[in-house]
Amino acid sequence: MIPIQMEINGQTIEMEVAPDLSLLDLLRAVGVDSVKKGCGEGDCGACGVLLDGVYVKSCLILAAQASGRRVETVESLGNVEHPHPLQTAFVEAGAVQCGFCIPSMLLAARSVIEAHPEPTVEQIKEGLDGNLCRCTGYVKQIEAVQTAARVMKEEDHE
Amino acid sequence: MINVEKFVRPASVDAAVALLQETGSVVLAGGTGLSLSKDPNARTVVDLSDLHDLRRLEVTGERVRLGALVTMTQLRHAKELPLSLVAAARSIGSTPLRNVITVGGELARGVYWNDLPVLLLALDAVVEVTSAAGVERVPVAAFLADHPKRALAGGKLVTAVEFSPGFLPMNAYIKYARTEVDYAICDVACGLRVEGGVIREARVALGAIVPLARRVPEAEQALLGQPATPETFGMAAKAAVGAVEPRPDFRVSREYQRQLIEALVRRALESAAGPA
Amino acid sequence: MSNSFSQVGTNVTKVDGMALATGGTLFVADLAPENALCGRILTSPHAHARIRRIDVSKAEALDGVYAVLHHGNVPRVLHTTAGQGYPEPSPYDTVMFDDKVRYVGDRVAAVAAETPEIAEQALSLIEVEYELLEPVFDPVEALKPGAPVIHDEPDAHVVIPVPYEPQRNLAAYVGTSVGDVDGALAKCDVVVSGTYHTQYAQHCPIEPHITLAELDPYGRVRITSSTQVPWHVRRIVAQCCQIPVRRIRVVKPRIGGGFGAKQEVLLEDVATMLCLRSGQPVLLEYTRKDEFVSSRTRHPSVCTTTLGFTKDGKIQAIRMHMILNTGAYGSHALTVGSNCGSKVLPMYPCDHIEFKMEGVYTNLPVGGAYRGYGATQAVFSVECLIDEAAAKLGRDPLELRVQNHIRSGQGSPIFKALGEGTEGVEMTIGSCGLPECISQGAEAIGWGRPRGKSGRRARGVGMAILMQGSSIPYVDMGAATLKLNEDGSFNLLMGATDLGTGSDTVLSQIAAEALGVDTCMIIPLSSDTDVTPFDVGAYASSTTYLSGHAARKAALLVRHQILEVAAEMLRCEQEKLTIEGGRIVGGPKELTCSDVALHSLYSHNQKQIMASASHISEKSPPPFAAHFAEVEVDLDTGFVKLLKYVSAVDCGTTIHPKLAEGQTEGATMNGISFALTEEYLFNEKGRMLNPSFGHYKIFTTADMPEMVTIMVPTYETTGPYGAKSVSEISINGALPAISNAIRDACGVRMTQGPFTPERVARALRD
Repeated sequence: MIPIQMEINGQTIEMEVAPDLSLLDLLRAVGVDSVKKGCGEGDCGACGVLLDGVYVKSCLILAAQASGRRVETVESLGNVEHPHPLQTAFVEAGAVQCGFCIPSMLLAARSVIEAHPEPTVEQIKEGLDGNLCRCTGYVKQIEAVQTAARVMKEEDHE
Repeated sequence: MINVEKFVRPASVDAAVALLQETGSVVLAGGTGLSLSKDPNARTVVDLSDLHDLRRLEVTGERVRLGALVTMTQLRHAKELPLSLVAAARSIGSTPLRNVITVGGELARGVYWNDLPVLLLALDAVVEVTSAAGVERVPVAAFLADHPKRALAGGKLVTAVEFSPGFLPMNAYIKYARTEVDYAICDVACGLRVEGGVIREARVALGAIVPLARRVPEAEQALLGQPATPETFGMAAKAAVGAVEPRPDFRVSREYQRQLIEALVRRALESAAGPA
Repeated sequence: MSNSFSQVGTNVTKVDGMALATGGTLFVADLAPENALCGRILTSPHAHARIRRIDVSKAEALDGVYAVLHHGNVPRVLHTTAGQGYPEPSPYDTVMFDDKVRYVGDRVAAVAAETPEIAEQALSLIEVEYELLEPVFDPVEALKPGAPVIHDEPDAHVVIPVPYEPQRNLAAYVGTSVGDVDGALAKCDVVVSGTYHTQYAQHCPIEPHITLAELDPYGRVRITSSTQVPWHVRRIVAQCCQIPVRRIRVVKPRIGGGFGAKQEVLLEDVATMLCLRSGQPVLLEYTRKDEFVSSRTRHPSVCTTTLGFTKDGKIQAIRMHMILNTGAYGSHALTVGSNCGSKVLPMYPCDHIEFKMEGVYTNLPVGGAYRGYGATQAVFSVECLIDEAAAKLGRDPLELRVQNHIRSGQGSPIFKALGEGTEGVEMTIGSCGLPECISQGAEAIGWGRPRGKSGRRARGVGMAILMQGSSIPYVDMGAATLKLNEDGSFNLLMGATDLGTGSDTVLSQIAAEALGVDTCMIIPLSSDTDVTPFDVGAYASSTTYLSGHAARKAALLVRHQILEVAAEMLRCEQEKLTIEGGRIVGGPKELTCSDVALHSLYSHNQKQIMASASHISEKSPPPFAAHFAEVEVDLDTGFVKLLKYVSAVDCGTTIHPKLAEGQTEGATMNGISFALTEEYLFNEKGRMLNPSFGHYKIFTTADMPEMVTIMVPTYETTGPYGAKSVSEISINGALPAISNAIRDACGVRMTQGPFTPERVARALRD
């Protein structure tokens, strides 16, 4: 067993983990259910998290590798009472159908807007290319990212 | 990985290569390969993430130096690099994978779907390999020739890659796959230096369609000393087909693989040479 | 008419949207208790074999193993995994575990253990001795005399009177004809014919199948499952585990997509049996590989179609012979097969039609319900052949379609001839927005604008027109219960199963519209077999059209009760009162629904204002669509780049426009990647070679073409507030539209999906 400690959405945890435990399985084991397992092979993208602010697939990160780092999941964006503009935009655009891929995709979207405050469609398509969604056809999600970017820019100005 | 006893984050390259001397030591960079590894012999994971110097991407005069921990995302957004290198980085995996996949990992793993080495061959890059004994510079072709695992045996570590963009100033990269986020079916890269309409230096490299990225000397020979024309490129493409035995690939037939080699080598050369 | 609605036709906030977007604990895996055992299924490595010996003693002896199941220790109950109404039209050819395996991935045994690692280890300790049998993989070969018999067990049978001949691998058969096709074809000026192949494909819900089975303190089993069919799950689990329905409660939480894959009882019986044997909660889930190999697929097809025209372009005769490969079990074979005819042939009314369908067993993965449900397979041939006929007639393919397609007021003998295991229902088309779909879609794609070649790349456009249905008439039933709360809100208890489609929102809008309140006052619950009324489930494009009617009926009954109480409170005539925006108006003073609720619960003549209603449909009105594709073909490599895709759809009233567009875009995208990349690759022993998203490619954002969605409004008088279905139709267009676009670009006709670069390159060479 490997001793680790990390900050998950602002809370520090310390525990011992098996060396081959993925960050995904660790997060689900400690109750962060927003991180989903759709394949466990790095393909579907439902398990995306921000690791020290960088968007990664948590099934391809070892829990021990993430030790000493900061992990953020969709819970860090907002909640039902105080949603993040991205969450509002996704819901209002009709970008959320079954919703299984959405928590991870929102984090990818946040990274896109961080890198490109006024993202083009091409930039959004590239930034979300690691997130499979079988329900939507992606059209509404691209719209939602553009809407959220506008809202966030306006909020910045206020 | 189940038998791993410790994760170590050395603070220096020297400390890292010292740790790699121990049997059972494995290198962790981005983790996309290691995280799913079932290697029962791994005992110590040497996590390079504190080696911040290896994240540096430097362009100094005639030389480009990519630290081993430079990610595909860094390359993809770098302003000062050849466009073919940016394209190659963009073609690898998807955004969250590009955020962690490193130059060193792309070189050291030695699997058919590593895309970056194909372009590095066409740029005539040199791999900087560090061990307890010191630093070696190995041409990327030699590094790959006998599988990277052998080149790195005995606890060696890829620490950087260097190349001179001016040496092969006309270059191109094509990844051919079923979708944008896919394992390549065929990678082609080429680099040319043309003087007075005549090809003076040429590199033609293939990946994915062969077990490990490699140069195709027969195609390069067909280019050297010849005019940079579509006819020459066509001859080189045919030479490549004759010279390369495609890897068995359950996704495509051998016949089609040969068609791809010819079409893509020709196209890459035409693209490198620019609009006629 | 649609202008007068206050809730219907508006983009209200999706009721579960923010809970999902904030990562709530909503899915089956999130709801499992910490002490749940891990279930795992051992699957067959062989395509066709008899289990001579199975020894589970070492697995049972392993520490942390609580139960091991195999054919020797579970009841042998013949059933179908297809989640269909009872008695099912699919053959009873499946048992929980058999002494024979029929495809690579078939069930052999199952374990429940404390951890995934122990479960895996237990599986590896199960010793199985197989006697290998000759497999057959090609459905045409499987039908030939002397082919290996896949279902040689004597107890496989059908429970409705339909043809079933397992001794010659025939799982399902449909044949029907009207008029005289041979005679008509002989008189035709232009006859086109071709054989078209569609491939194995998977639904790929991002959440794989998953089931949690728990015993409650009363000894009942609570099954929390990712399913489209909670009631069929309850019935089939009772059947397989030989326990009464009353001991089972099925709860459907949020579902991570289904697309038909979850209209199938694949895990619930095993999870329940493991739970009963161990006395512990058991979580059983498919890995992504299991999802590909052992779950369900789109039935591959070989379809030979002939169309005959007179020289004026009028269609005279259609003949279709469909061979469906149903794999190792006959799930949905008959009904997918009959839908190949019933959802495609009526498009071009003519007097002479012949349809034959054979559903054939092979030793390959099992077919099932998949969005499109046969229409996807059959429309490929018809819509490609329309283009071929247009070429021969010297006509614009769009014009030829306009000349011949079905219109409002027309019927088709096929509606009556082809039902779902029974005779169909006669029907004339009510709403039909197809002309507008075609004209608006053509405008959006720039139909008729010359494309041509640039270097080694050629561009072209193609189109296809489509129809589907809305529910299964006289078969499907949906029900809803509505009750009023003190604050004027309403619980809407629905059997209808929202699997990510948004039906909780859509049905809430319908109920709110009927009540005269705002949608935010509706609290939807779907589905819980202990709490909500029955519904057949989310399939056959039925939820909006059928269950929507049930919600509307229940709401009208509740509205009546509210007005009754209000009239009593106001001492006025009930007929004068109406509900608008949650307020009861028209009387001497205004009341709120809350006033009425408080009065009826606490003040006088107390009662709970509530009502239930059921609905069955008499029709299955088709939605219509016209799809257009623009492609660029790389003539050197055969790579087809889809540049633009237009889906123009008539689904009647769009109850929630954004969700209807979302259904269209999602189905369209699925159809596109089915047409271009998705396929199962097998080795010579029937093992799937690409059971991962790494090698089974579904489109990402980076692969998207420019997408245009057009919703053409019509009003279907038989639908709730004019609505028809929307979810399935748009998956069907890409295969023919893209094949037609490739033909336009470079002259080759692709008759085998997917249109991989290698296939296109081969066609260009030949």
